[in-house]
Amino acid sequence: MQQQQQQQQSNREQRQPLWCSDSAHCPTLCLCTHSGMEVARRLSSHPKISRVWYPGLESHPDHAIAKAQMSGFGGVVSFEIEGDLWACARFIDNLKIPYIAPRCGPDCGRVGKVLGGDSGPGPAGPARGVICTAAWRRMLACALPTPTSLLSGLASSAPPHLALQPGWRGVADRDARGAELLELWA
Amino acid sequence: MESLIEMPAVQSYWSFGPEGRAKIGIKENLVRYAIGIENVEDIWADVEQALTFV
Repeated sequence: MQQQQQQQQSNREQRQPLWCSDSAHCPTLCLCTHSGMEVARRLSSHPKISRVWYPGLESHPDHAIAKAQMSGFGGVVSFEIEGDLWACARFIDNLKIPYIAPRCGPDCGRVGKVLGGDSGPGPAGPARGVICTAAWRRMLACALPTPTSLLSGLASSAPPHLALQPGWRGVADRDARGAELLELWA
Repeated sequence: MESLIEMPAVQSYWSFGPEGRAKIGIKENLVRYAIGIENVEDIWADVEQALTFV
């Protein structure tokens, strides 16, 4: 065990810093990690945020280990909105910058749902090529050259609850939870 | 590159059900924001204005 720890320590010392200490290595990661830290800090003192999960913050349960292992903490910030699911949905609906989407593969584009409810697809929607149906609103943030590659990406890696529009049977047919979600949002 | 945002409870962990999500700490008010390369001041201004709708 001790030997393993020494080896890890040695690896850490030898490793080139990947992020902010030398942005020439990867300016993109540097930028994301800088922004992540900044946004996490600001969110943690915002009255409408009940909790921020970011390994760069001391409040994170694994902050010590993250600090020991990493020279930056990345751009993914998780946080809890003061309120319920719908408060959270309103927040997301009203954001203008980020796409509403989980990642579903390195090159398959992004698929997500626009949490519409009564408010419609949200201001960020149509301008970004959102495809909506009346009952089942979805956003396809198509960063892809062809619909075929998007489809294949979806079929292989979209979470099962992300049923698509009726025509997209490959995914829709195996979606047992679509109806459940639909009911919730109706 | 671009920022992405999601509600993990709905978009990633729906299949776990409420109890399954509670067990692993995925709350319904949880947001996961993968920050991209946009200007951080723009990102923050956007977050602040959206929080007024909560």
